[in-house]
Amino acid sequence: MTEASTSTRHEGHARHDRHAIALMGNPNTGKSSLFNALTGARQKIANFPGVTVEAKIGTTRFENSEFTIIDLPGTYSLAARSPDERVATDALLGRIEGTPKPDGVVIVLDASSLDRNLYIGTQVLEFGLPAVVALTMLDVAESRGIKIDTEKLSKTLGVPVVVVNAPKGKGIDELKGTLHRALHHPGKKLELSYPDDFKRGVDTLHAELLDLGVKLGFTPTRPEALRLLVDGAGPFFDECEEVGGEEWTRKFFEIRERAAAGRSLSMLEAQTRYGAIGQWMREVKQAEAREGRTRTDVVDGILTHKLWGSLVFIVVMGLIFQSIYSWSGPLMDTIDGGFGALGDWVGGMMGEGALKSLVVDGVIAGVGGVLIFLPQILILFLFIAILEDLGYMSRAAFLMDRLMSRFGLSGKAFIPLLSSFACNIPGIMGARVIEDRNTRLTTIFLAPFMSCSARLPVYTLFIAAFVPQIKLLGFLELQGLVLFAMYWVGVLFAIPTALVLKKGILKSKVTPFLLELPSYKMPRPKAVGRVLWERGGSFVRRAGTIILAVSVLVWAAGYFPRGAEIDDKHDAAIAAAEGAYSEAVVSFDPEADIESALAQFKAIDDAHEERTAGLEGEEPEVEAATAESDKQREAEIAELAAKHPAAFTDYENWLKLEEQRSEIENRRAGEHLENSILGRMGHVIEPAVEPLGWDWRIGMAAIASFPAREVIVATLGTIFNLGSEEDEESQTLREVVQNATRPDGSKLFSLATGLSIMVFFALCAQCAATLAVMRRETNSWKWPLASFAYMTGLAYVAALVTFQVAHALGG
Amino acid sequence: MLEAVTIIAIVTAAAAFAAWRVWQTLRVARGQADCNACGACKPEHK
Repeated sequence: MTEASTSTRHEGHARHDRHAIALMGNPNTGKSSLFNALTGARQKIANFPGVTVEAKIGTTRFENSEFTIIDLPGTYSLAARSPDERVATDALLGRIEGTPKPDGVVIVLDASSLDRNLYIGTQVLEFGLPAVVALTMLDVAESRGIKIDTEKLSKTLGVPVVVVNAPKGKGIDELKGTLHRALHHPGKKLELSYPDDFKRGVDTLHAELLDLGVKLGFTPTRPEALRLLVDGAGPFFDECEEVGGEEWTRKFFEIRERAAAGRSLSMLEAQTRYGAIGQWMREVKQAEAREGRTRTDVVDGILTHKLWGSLVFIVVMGLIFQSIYSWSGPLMDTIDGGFGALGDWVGGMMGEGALKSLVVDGVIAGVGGVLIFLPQILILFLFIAILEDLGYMSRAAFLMDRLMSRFGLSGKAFIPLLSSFACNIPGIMGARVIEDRNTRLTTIFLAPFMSCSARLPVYTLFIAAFVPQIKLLGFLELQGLVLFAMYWVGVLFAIPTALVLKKGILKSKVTPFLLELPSYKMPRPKAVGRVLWERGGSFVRRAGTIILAVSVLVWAAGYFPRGAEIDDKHDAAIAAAEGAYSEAVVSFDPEADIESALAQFKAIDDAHEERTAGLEGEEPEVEAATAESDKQREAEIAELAAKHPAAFTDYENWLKLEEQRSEIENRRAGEHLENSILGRMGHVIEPAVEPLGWDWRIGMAAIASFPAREVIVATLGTIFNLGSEEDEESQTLREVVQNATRPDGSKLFSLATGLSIMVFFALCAQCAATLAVMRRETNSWKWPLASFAYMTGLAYVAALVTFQVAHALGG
Repeated sequence: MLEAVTIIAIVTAAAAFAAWRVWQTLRVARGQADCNACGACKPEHK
């Protein structure tokens, strides 16, 4: 249960009424939008069903009244089948701990599907609580030629009807005022004409429940008796059975049998409700007869078509991943450059020592290394938000349902699994909409296989470092294609896992899938902006909290203890190299000033570096420009060397000295790291990670990323900065990874190593929050532990096979 | 000396924060808190 606010403001001596109001209705009718408009909260809304899976609370005011608004999960009925439906019914009855019992209810009805929406509407109205109908999507209904006579609808239902358009803020104040009046002057209770046997059954059961009332601790109402009679199961039944014992249960089933009189009670209920709704609709609804298919039908015909729909899906997804690379480049370079400059500036300001290392190698290299991926995260969520708001996600779910039902998964599993691509946690929570326990557990188990946004920095780092930046067919970026492929790795492993689970320990029948395809809507900039703000903010918060903390701890473990003998040894080596240089200096040149000549040689090299700094990739024009610059440098050096031969000799010796210094400093940093706590721990685990092509540093970074997957990027940044001593301008993490070496001088990373790390992170369960939510949703440690052990084992084996195969193929 | 004290303070704060997060994660597992990992489930006031 989450609360937006429960605070109350007391203004002068005015008397305050407080009322709890429940928002109820079908999924995807705009309840969350209305909740946001009423309370000023920023709850997630989307154009697909099943976004709200637990009750949310917020407050709003009207004159001297304060309304506590309870947003309930959308359900098609009050029958207690799936956990989200139970939440709705229990909240209406005030049986959820910490949630106030509603004094009134706002029934949210979608005008474009009024008949179906009124089914739950009649169930709620039977409870007799003061109610107001909020009629949404009237514009959509009108665009389809449907006209609703709201006055007649209000008269028929016996409650006020207010037309609202929450995203535009229309009808909100009128709704509050109407609600205020309805609470003080409630309408009449709705009574439908059920068959006599059925009605008698409800009365008899109600009398029995009233007898049981003392033991139950509350007075059950007649609508509750009706629900119990029809459902014949659920938490309320369990409670009555426990209190009433066997005798009560026997009587209950006798009453049910008599009430059904050989028919199905749920069928009787549905017939009565739809009979009444049909009659009302003839009076309140006018629909223009439209010939042929609507535009939505035509578009749906393509988007949900087995072949064309699948092609559109693949093209849309492909375009997203292409854009992630093409669009994010300049922004990433800017952030990268910003952190590089910050590191250089801070490094220049601080004196040499541990504190400088902590700030530059720990904090800036760690946190900065992760933050440069913010543009890619934002681009990914920009597309997700647009597709959600457009209504495309439900079509994608419909398409995938066909495929996945072959692997024993209910269609209801697709919305949660689709949400998992953004973050596994809402995916796991979204599995509450699934009635069948075994299918729900399977979905929860599979959710972490979907590539969440935390994996994006890991993929992009290694793809940028080791996959060539070339275009296929003239427009497809190879890097984008590899990223797209990485998103499929988890899905490919989830399929056999689902098959094994559904045919083994979590066997259950595939239930029919009922998915509402919402109307297409133009994406609302505000809603899209909100998603970007929240997801971007969440990413930055994680970088500033847990990633920062882990970076500092990894730095400390990698910095201490500092062996004085290591410093002495390397100081002596530098002194020796400097001595050799001094002896070799040609200290005379009759023709020119030696210092000035040296400066000119250096200027040539600096100009060459500047010319080639922005040149990346393996395209012919890049290679040609690099070769041209090399040629120019050689020609300039040769010309200057001919003029100042002695200075040229000195310059060559100076370059050698710089190289020696750099090598000695790198060796010093490497030895300190090996000698540190992190290094010692790393060497213990090294034999286990060596077959994956990793050394102990990558192994330790993978272990340190247990709190969150993207931590590996920060940890690698910290470890490799600690392990090398760069005097010149700081390198980007991609360059650090490309240039990292083993103690024997060979390159640490290759395409095979990069692929092995990406496959490991596509499949591992390195996310503490996901495992915690899995424990919460399954009410057992068994499932998160099984998930962690299974996914880690699978990730290890898959990374091992990937490395060995890629290495054998020359990667 | 000041440098050593600063480093000890920063590393201790990071360790304390990490320990608090472990405790918080256990509370999430027991259903006593929201995880706040992705922000999707948490409504906020304007």
